Amino acid sequence: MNTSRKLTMARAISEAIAQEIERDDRVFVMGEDVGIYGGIFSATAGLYEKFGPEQVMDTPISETGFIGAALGLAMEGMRPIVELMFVDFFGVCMDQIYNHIAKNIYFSGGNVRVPLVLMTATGGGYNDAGQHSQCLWGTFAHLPGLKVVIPSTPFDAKGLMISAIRDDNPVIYMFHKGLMGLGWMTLIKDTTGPVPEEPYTIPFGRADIKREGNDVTIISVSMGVYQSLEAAKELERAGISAEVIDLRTLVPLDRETIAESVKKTRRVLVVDEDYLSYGMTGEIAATVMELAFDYLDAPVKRLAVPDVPIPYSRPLEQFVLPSAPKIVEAVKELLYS
Amino acid sequence: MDVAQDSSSEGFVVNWFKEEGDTVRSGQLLLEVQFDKVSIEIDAPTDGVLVKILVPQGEVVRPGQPLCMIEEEKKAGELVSTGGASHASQSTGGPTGSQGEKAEAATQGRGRTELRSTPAARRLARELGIPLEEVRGSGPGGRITEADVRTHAANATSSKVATDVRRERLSPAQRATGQRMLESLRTAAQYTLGRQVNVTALVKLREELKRSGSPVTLSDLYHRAVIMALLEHPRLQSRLEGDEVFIPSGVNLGFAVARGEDLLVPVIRDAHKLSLEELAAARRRLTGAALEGRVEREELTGGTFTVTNLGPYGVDFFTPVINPPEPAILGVGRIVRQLVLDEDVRVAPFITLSLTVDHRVVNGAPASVFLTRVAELLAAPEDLISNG
Repeated sequence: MNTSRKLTMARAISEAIAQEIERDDRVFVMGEDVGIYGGIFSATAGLYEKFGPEQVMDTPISETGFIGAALGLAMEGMRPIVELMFVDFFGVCMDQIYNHIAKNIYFSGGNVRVPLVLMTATGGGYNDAGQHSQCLWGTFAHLPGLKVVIPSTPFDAKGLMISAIRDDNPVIYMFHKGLMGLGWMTLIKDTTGPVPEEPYTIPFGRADIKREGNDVTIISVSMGVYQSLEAAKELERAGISAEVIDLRTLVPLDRETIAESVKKTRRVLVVDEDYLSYGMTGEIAATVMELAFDYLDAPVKRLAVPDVPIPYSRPLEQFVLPSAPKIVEAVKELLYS
Repeated sequence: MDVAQDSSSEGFVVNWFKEEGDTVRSGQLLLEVQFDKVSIEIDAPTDGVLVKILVPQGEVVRPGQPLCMIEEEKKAGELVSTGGASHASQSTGGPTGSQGEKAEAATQGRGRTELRSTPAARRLARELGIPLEEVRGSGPGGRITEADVRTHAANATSSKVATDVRRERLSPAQRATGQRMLESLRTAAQYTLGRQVNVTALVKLREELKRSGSPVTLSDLYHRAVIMALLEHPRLQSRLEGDEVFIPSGVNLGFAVARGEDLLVPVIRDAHKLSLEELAAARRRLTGAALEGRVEREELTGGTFTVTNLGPYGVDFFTPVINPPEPAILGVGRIVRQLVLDEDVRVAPFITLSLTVDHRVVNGAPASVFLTRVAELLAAPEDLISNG
């Protein structure tokens, strides 16, 4: 694959969707402002112009209504990508997502497939407060029946989106606003990355070791991967070799890669922009206990958002969110105490 | 409390001045700890009751390790630990950290039967057949880590010995010296040159000085000769860093002192500025301090060259080990009477000099030139007292 071309994550996602619509006319997009506006985080930019209102459909502000409609279309053989503008809004449509999208395949004894992608925006760090800054992937990963996909790079975003569209089961696809490469919201230095032009898939349940190391394993997803990589550079200057694992999907979870890494480094830090308790960090810690207990040389350490709503105030928000300096500090505690 | 130590350094508790159950006042002398041959007094950081001594007299301590628990009135126990190193700031840093330490310190106190170790340490110990009881833990609260087991395994090759062999723990001082010497031999390309010197004139000079009431000894004359030769050949005291050498213009002269079985190397600072008498006074003062354990930590560091004299122990020639980061060390042997064959046959006193040099810094020929210069100064010692 030619990887010299660079794209933002937003363009990588819309390209993936466009190529899948061209490949399979059962594929279409619906959601609030996904059409003429191109999606408020540009995940569907340019699709309306290309495919028109039949396949790129704007909906009213009525999540239960249009997500329920997407479910029905999926059960009838279409392959919808439906956007929930902010994951924080799941409260108004959770019955459709959880009691129907996630369960119908079980309730029907496997006779009804739900090939639906629920695409949604996650993440904070830009002062949008407690109803627009959450990640919540732990919540969806906790509920059986949904695959949970969280890209951290434009390359992964395209491959994982194509895999999500081609999957016969419901997938929640959670991109981070700050990683999309939007001019009005840039939370990382370089928001572009190499993306091949042709369609490709990335299998679910396959974590990506974004950086190899020997002294400590840092496990994260999404924005946390960037912060961990930045921290790893800083740690290298202190003579600490950190391995950074990007899980890419929480369901299915690549427990094997986690265990293998721990067997190599003996120490684990889990970094999560989601809440601390009952979440991803706890699940990883349990996985390490179950699969690599005999290799641990220190207790598993967790760095996640404390159990409070994301504050609006910038200093308070920065206080609760993970960051590279916090990761550096946590790793040093892990290694030296 | 502010004891700056390398995280690798190790000390032991010399004395507790309070017993468990005693009331202590903030600032009161609590215990004495010895690190690298230097004693440090630690005061109580707070008022309260000394409820638990975690490191009894004679036991090893590392920087950051909790030493005891002091219960403040109506408050939870506070841990006293050796400060300074990164370990300390970690273990007593955040509120959660110190809470955890308290809990584990308390459990340890109850029975000492609870052995803390990481799963990785236990797995390795199992694989190697090492009883964990024999392993000393370096983690928080003495937790045994995988590295501790590995170190133990590497050191324990002779643990399964015959029953008539007595086992003894090395003193912290011996361990420190050993580590240093091993590091020296691992990192420097050391070779030793030997050379005999006829010291007839030197012995005579020393006797004259003695008669005139001077406290100058042969050691001081050796030191003086080395200092003068170093000023002419300063490369022999240069410090190697990467691809560069740093060559000091003055001389800080270290000299080996044996205290029992321990080895100390006090350093005479700016030795090149001292007269022979001042040199003798400095040597006397530092030797006394070293033997009485009063020598300051700063007085044991910063040397540019070391002299070690095993003459009094009956040694002629030996291969001294360089005291890093110095590039060379001069060993002095005993005075031996030998036959001299020139015009006629005479008997004269000789010593043998053993100069060990780091080949990375100085090659054999220039090192020999330096050694020859030292020998010349000792053989014809007028210059040693000339500008003294």
